[in-house]
Amino acid sequence: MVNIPSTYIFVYLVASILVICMQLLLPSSLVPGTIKLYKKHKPFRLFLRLMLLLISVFVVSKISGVRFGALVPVFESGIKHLTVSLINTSLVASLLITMLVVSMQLLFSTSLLQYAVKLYWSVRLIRISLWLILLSILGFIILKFAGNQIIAFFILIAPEYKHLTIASIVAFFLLLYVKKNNLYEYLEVFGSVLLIIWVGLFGIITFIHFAIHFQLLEAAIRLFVRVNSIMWGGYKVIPYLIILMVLIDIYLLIDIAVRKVRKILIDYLEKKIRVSYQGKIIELIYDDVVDNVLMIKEQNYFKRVKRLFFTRQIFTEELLRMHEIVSGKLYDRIHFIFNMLLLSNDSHNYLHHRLWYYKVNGLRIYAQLGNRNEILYIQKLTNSGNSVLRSEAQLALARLSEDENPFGYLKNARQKLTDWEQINLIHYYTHHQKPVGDLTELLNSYNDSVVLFGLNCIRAFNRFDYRDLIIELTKRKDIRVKNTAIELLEMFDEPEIAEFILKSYDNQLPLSTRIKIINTLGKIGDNSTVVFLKQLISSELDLEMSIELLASLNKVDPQAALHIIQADSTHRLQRIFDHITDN
Amino acid sequence: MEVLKFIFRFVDSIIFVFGIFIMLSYIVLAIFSAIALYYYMHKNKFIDYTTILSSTIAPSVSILAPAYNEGKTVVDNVRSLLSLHYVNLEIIIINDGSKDDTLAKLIENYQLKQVRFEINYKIPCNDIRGVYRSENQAFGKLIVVDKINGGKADALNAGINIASNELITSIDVDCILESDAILKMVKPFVEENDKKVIASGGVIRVANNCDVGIGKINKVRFPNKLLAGFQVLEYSRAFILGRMAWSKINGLLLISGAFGMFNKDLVIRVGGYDKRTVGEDMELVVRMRRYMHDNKLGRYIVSFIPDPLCWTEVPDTLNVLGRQRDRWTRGTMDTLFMHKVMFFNPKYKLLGLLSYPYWFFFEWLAPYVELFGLIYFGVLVCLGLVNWLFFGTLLALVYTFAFMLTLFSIYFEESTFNTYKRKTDILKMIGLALIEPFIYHPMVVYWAIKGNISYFRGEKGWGKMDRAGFSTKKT
Repeated sequence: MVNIPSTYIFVYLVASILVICMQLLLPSSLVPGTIKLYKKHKPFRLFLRLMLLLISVFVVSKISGVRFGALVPVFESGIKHLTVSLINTSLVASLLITMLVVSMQLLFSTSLLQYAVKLYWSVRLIRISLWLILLSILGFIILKFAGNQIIAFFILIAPEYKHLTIASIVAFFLLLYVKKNNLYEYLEVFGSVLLIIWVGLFGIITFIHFAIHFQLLEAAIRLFVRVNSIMWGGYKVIPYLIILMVLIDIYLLIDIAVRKVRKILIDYLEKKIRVSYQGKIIELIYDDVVDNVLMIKEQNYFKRVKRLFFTRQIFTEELLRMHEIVSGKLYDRIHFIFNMLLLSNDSHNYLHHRLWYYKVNGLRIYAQLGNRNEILYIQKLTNSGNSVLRSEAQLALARLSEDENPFGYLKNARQKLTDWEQINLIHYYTHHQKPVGDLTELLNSYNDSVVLFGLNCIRAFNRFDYRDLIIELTKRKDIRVKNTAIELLEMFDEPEIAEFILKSYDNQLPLSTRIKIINTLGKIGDNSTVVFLKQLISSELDLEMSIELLASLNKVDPQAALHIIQADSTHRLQRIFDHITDN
Repeated sequence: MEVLKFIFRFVDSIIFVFGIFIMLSYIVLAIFSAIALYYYMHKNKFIDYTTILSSTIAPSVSILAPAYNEGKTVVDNVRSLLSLHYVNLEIIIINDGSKDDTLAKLIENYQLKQVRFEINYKIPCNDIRGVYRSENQAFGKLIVVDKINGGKADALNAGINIASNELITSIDVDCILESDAILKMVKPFVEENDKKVIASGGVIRVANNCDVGIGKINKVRFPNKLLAGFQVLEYSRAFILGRMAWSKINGLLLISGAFGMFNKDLVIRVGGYDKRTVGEDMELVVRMRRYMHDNKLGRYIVSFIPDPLCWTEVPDTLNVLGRQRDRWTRGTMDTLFMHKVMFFNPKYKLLGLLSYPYWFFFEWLAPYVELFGLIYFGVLVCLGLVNWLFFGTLLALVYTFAFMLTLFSIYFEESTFNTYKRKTDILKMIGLALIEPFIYHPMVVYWAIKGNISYFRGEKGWGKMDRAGFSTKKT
């Protein structure tokens, strides 16, 4: 009989649900926070490992009956109640509940489990150790509960099946060997089939004996009846479920209806309020004097604005919109109004909010107003795990940076600088015609994506002053960096560059890199390039490469291209040339 | 008698447990979908997609649109594709041996002339008779490929052989794409971080009864016909509740053939679309995913965009819809059997342990279980063994659950994209949700069973899909 103290299960379930809810709702949740702590602090790591080891020792000692307690008397009392609860709760029930929690955690993708799974798959020793531990625990359980019976069974069947058992085991391993080494043709199909039948039959007969001896069928039926009665006993809950679902349906229907109406109302209100605020803001900032006297005069108006979050938000948006289009004294007036109305409190609260989309709003307000008070915090956000937050922090820094080297924070970038972030940054600097400063640090970064960004900046802003660095970067391992660097060398129409690129060609390079080299040579190539290209064309079978080669040769020396086409008796090059011309 | 009673109890329990598991899985999917939508909607507020338009870093895209006997609508459809907002784009229409005037219409309307094109048959396909480009610079993005008929998969493979860009987007030529559809689909690829994005899928919406202009939807309206209306609900559940959730946990097995974007290199490496199956869209995604696992190519994702980006005309007659569902069932079975090695195989991680088994049990087997349940119920009625109160309770549970699920998808749709703005459209959706379990669902089960029978009889092919075409609708 399984004896499950309900309190332990209840506590276990509540704790699991709590952890999962926290992980769902909180961005900086318990488990990532714990992992951070674990990674950073050695004593904490040691402590956790020690705790795990002690718990394992006590569990094993209780199951196996071996007294390890004598070895660690100091900790026995401290974690006694934990081991007692584990033992009392019946190991099977605990394991089942753990499996349930683990499955739920898998579905909710907690970082702890991902980390553990990553560790499991990447370190073979851990895999083997875990499997050994699992098998040992299983072995202990089986031996503890059914050890005598299993031994008795084998003693019982041994006299009858002794010879057959040995022969079948040998046959089984022979089959495995045959299958692994594909030796069917030597053993002949007929022989293999006989072996399979023999092993299969023996397995079935043994299992039947096993089942009869241990009354497995009766146990299965008893288990089924028991589970079935629990399951069908729960049918009383069905009417409540139906009522719950009906209530949910009613709520959803009401919410859908309310949303529709609310949206219309909000849109109408917003339009109206926005127009009124636009007028008021224009009136205020174009007034002769904007000072404390004015603010006192308009106190009642601003009280109404500040009272509701909705109205405050619209007023802020209109102020910021005006901020974008004015300059000089009016710019300062908007700042004055913003600060006097304490709207900066809102932006500060947004920036430090626990939810990322509020942070983004805060970033945008700080950036638009040129408020550099939180610049260190914004710099920290450029390493956030949230890609939107990271990108917005980068854009905010781009606006707020007064540095000659606005991308200085990227030298410490731990995350990959995605193409999207690069697109946004380059778009901002192009659109606002701001200088990007010195790119040397970017081009020397250990982070390949940062280097790539540096190269993209060179292309976007026509920075010809990094020739040597670009040449160095053609030797970088990362394919994208290599290819972009090679492509950029076409900006420098120099014979040395052409010669360098030519020498860097290698058949072992990936196809995309070779194509880039050929393309670049096509733009800056000279006589030595012609010879090189002609040599390659004659030996190249790949169509894509042939097209690129012939196109490049045609650009460098059309006569040479014509000559080689005419010399080709298969007319393949003629067809390729026609393709290049028509497309 | 005791044995019989035990057997009945056993069968009752199996069906009951199966039903409970399906319901629980839908609840879990709904929760994941809610989380994913919540994050996506908040993220989308801050995105300016037009920055991709002017960028040289953005990847190049080839749109592949197979066309077979699309003479009525192909000119307008191609015009709609040419108006898509994207910089580095080529549009490849593959005329798959049409018997009507598809090619002639294209040549006439877009001033096409045959060009000399050296085709690199990276993926085997039927012979290509000719490649056409426009003499008019305005249609410089357009390439038309004329080939011997070989089916949709073969046509797409031919398109891949012609395509010169990094990403390929397969669409149905009669679909209407939103002007910023490519921008939104490309975004997951440019956001790629430590996980490689191998494919990206979009939502397919029902365009029946919508006001369609020249290649764009002017006004969205709920379909007039019952069948099309049921399909709106079905698509809403499938995309918003289903695929969004699967995408969230990176377990998505299917990207619609009507609109999906793929990494071209990877598609070529896995051998392109499989001609042997009518579910080539699902089979390709599964094969790509399997390839990533088999070759240990690192972490990857199959992304999903919940924005309504692609509009298509759905079948509104029983015959055509039945043929479509028959084909979908056969496609699903093809994919499941071709990749049966993944079934509960831990080597494929989530794919093998969750996604594949889900499709196997709840997408393929579910109609069988339902049919068996109905027959079994009939037997019990004949034997007088039905507890009618219990039956009524269970029926109420299942019906309320089905309605609640559909209502959730309507709710998510309303609170996110709010595609159907008219109150009457919402009321129609709710009304249809009430009767769907009794009218539409049994038809879907019937067609699924029919699809299974067709599959085991070795039937191949698409069947005749009649379409009215957008140009005959209101403008």
